Amino acid sequence: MLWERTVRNIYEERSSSAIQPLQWSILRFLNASPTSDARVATIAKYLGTHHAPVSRAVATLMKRELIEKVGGPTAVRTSPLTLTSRGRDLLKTDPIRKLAREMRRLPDRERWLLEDILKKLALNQHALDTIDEDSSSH
Amino acid sequence: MKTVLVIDDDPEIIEVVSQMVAAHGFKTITATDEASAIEIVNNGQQIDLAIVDFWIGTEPALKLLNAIKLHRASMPVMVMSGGGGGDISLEVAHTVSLVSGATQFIQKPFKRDDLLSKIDQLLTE
Repeated sequence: MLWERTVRNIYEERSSSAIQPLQWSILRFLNASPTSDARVATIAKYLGTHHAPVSRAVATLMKRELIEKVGGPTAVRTSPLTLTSRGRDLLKTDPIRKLAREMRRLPDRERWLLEDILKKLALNQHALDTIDEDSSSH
Repeated sequence: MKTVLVIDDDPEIIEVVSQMVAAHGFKTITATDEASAIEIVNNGQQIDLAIVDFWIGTEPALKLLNAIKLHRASMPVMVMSGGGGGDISLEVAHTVSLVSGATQFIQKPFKRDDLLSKIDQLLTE
């Protein structure tokens, strides 16, 4: 419950007009990846999700003028996507930054422990033994 | 001459990446398993950059990333992944890599120019 509360608190604004977690992930992808990779199929593969929700989220972000097709509104349907200046500005308020700031304020030992636990959860405990063995050497 | 360590469990990827890196003027050292790579990292020889496949077999290369973080903290590390981790997304592999000390992530398959520009960026930072 504490973990769920923490995650919910990251995305404080929960109105229907707020940027949703998937939309934030798309904005982050476009900020970090070469423009040539920035197509719905590539983004869906990267996020490990299906084409349809990414396509809908992309349409919403375009409507809000946070992303656009390279070449502008008249570009062909398959043109790669890019952030608009409004999208880049919005990323400066990415809620995940708040969490990163909080984590940086933790003492090193606690931060390393939290990072190891999060890695285990994210990898479905794939790396349980690996991390256990090495976490004491931090 | 700068030295690049390339680690991947797929010998074909090792060969392709090594050729790209060598043609760009770098010396390469290679390893196809995590234990050999850790031995190279720990033996003190000159390495300027490591290019690490996130999935070595079915396991993430976290032991290796940890060894690099501990013994070569200032060495840039580029992690590459094309999936291969069951239901683990590339986003998760990317994020776990960064938390584990990687400085750059590249999605397979990648273009030669993308790889080399990321290498140049890492080696000039």
